[in-house]
Amino acid sequence: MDNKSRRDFLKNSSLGVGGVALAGAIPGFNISAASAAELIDPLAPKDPHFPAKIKSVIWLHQNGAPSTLDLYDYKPELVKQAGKGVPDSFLKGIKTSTQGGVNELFVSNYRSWKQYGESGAWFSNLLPNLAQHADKLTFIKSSVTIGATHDISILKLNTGDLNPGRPSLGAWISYALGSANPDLPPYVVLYNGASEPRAGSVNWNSGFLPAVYQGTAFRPGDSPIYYLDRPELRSALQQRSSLDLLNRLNKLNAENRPLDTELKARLRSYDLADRMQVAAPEAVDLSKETDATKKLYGIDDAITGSYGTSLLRARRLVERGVRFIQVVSGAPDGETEITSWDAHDDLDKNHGLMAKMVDKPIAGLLEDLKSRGLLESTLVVWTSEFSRTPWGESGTGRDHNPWGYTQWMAGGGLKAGFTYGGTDELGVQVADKDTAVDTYDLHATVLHLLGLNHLKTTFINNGRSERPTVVFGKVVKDILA
Amino acid sequence: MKNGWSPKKLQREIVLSAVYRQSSEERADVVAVDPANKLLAVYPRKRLEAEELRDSLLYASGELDETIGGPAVFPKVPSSLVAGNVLNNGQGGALWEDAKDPNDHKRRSIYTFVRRSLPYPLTASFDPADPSKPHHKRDVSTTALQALTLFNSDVVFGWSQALAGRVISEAGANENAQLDTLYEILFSRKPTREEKSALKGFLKEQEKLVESKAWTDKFEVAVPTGLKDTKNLDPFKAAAFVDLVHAVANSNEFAYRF
Amino acid sequence: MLFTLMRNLVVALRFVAVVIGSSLLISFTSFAQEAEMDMDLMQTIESTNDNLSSNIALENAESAIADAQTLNELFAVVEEHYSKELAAGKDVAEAVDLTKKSVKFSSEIITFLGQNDFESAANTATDLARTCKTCHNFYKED
Repeated sequence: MDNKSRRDFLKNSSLGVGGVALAGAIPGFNISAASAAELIDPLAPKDPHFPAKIKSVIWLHQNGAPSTLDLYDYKPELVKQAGKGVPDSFLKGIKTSTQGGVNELFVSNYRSWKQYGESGAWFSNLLPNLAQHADKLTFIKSSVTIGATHDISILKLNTGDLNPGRPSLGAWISYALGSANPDLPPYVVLYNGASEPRAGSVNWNSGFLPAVYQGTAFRPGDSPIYYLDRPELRSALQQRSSLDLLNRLNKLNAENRPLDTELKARLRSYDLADRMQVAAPEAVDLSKETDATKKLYGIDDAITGSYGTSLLRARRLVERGVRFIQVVSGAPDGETEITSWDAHDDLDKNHGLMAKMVDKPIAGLLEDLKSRGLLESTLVVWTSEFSRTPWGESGTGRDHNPWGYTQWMAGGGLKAGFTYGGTDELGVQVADKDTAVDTYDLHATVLHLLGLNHLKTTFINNGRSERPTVVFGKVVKDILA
Repeated sequence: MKNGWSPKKLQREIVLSAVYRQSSEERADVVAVDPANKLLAVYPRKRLEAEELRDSLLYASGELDETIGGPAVFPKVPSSLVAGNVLNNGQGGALWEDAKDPNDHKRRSIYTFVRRSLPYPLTASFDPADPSKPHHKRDVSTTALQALTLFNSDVVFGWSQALAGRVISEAGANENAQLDTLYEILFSRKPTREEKSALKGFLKEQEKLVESKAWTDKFEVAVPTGLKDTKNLDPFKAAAFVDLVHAVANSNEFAYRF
Repeated sequence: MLFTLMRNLVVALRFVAVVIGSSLLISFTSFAQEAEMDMDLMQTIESTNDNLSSNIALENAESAIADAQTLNELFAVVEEHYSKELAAGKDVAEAVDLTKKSVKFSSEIITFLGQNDFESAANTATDLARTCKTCHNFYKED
């Protein structure tokens, strides 16, 4: 230990978050542009690089990896070849690791397909409600990623890297745009089911960005944030007057330090906490929603109820200016056997339940956003860490497929009722490699719609300029309206 | 290193250094030329880190259990968190089960179990080291979640009750002496005249507030804990004093080292 | 420019010392001929590429040009390696194409940087990084 490291340490902490944000603000956000307000409040709203198409993102992570070959990607050839082996030509350039090797191609006996809407998009019988919104969706049928364990690929889906340490997409957005509603965090994570999502908070972490930009997990139930309720034995009035005293003491204390922005920030944080105490429960309180709305989201049903609640909450957060809402799919309340889309065996049973859980709520969300005029300024992203193979596993399941699968987006700035890319005839890999859309490209496109150039959204970490798309990432221009 | 890696000599050198002994008083001239205080013309005031903050609150309250060593402990977490994680460690057990031994709830933060997937909520918002990544420097953020934690947590409020009890035990019944003792414990100084008048004004008003609560059908108040003799304790006054202690312990002066 | 050269020399020397483990007197041309394709070379490329994208973002032209120059030279080594393998009848046509592309991209980056066109440089650097990735999908062994 020497003077230098102690100095560095103190220097870095002395300005607090303002200092950190400022140091990292070059050159994406010019140092001279950092206003006094920004120094005091790292979440002060900031301008995008160019006019934004959307204000908020609802990131629907389908946890466990659904088989998009059973939802959107209709393959007549797969149906024909079911029960036969996979020709070697389809496996060129990929490394499979299915237990017991690449088995025969598998198709469920219960699967049927139909085209919907003017766009004629295919949907399987697992998604009858969502299919009604075919013309609102922009399909990316050439999605790829790196296939590893769920935890690692989920991390890549959210942060762009296979190792922990990089900021999640939502954290980059909070950093770049700040908060549009000072009473709520700009980045909220929602989930349904009894437990926190798999792999946990690392997926809404701020990585090397200051911690203030990380996602705030709203737990299911009436009290979404820890410590939102005052101590049990205190009345509201007691609490109020105690806050006033605290405010008075902090002001007296700050009198000798009129230039210290961090002390002011802390003083303000108690005001904000006071407002958040009201704003957060109100934001997730569905009692003022009509029965018709609740029904639309399937909240009246045991299987769709908890996921529908998450999505209705997501819409309320959008209305309140939250920038990024990450909704991780869990399991229906009371369900203990099936906890995610991870159908290594008995796909019919798994996807039958999971698709049912999300189908009506997502359809309801799209309809609700549309009827409230919010769909033009919101982006809904249906995404997963990877998908599943056309060949079977354990007889009636499917293994992981990171080489070619479907994701979709819906909302402002996109060609609606449009399909981009595609997989080969059996749905193993992306057909045309030049159309492959990796997680980085998805991130670059989402940022673009928010008015952010991913190459200019930068933060200096350890002397290196970092960006949300690591060193990759291209905006998928063909899907932009 | 030259001194044979002696931490004591190192500490001595640090605390005797000119910078360390410098006043942290804000100086407009310094702020003008060196707003980030890079040259350390004044002592840089610094927010207590996550663990320091918890341990300091515990220490001030007289509750800190300074037992050294042993396995990590599971201090109390909000009940909703425990409920949500009951079946979740993969072996049918809970991810976090509050320690049965009450002393385990008051151990130093260094003994708190670190679970990557479930950060200890009391310190989680104060930028602790993230156990899932290599680490060299902590951020210092200032957020509403921190304020909610310190102001609303029943655990922290409980420590304020204990601190109130400690103050009354040490200072006796005299209000002035109580306020002086509280400030000496928390800040190593006596309150200024202005502060004292604010505190006294608060006590008077708060007592009335608490009393008005007595007219509702359910009357329960948080009183100082750890007192040997509670016979002469006026519950209204005592509850008001707890509220005062809690506000003072939440103030900037406690969260920062100046 | 002196700085650029020196930096290149340092990278190259470090690289030569690691990869070939021979005398430090080897010049640029000979190192390109004698170097072997291995993990060290690939890791040097990867970290140089990371530096490149950072230096472009920081609009640090000199260092970025140095990085691109290094990459250009290293990709030439890779290209030669795969060309030889292809000649020996191995199924590496794709790798040859991709490395040729990488050599081309890295020269283009140098040109863009010379014109202070950081935006085009950033876009091409992204193309370059993606080419690496495409190639690794085919050839990287776990």
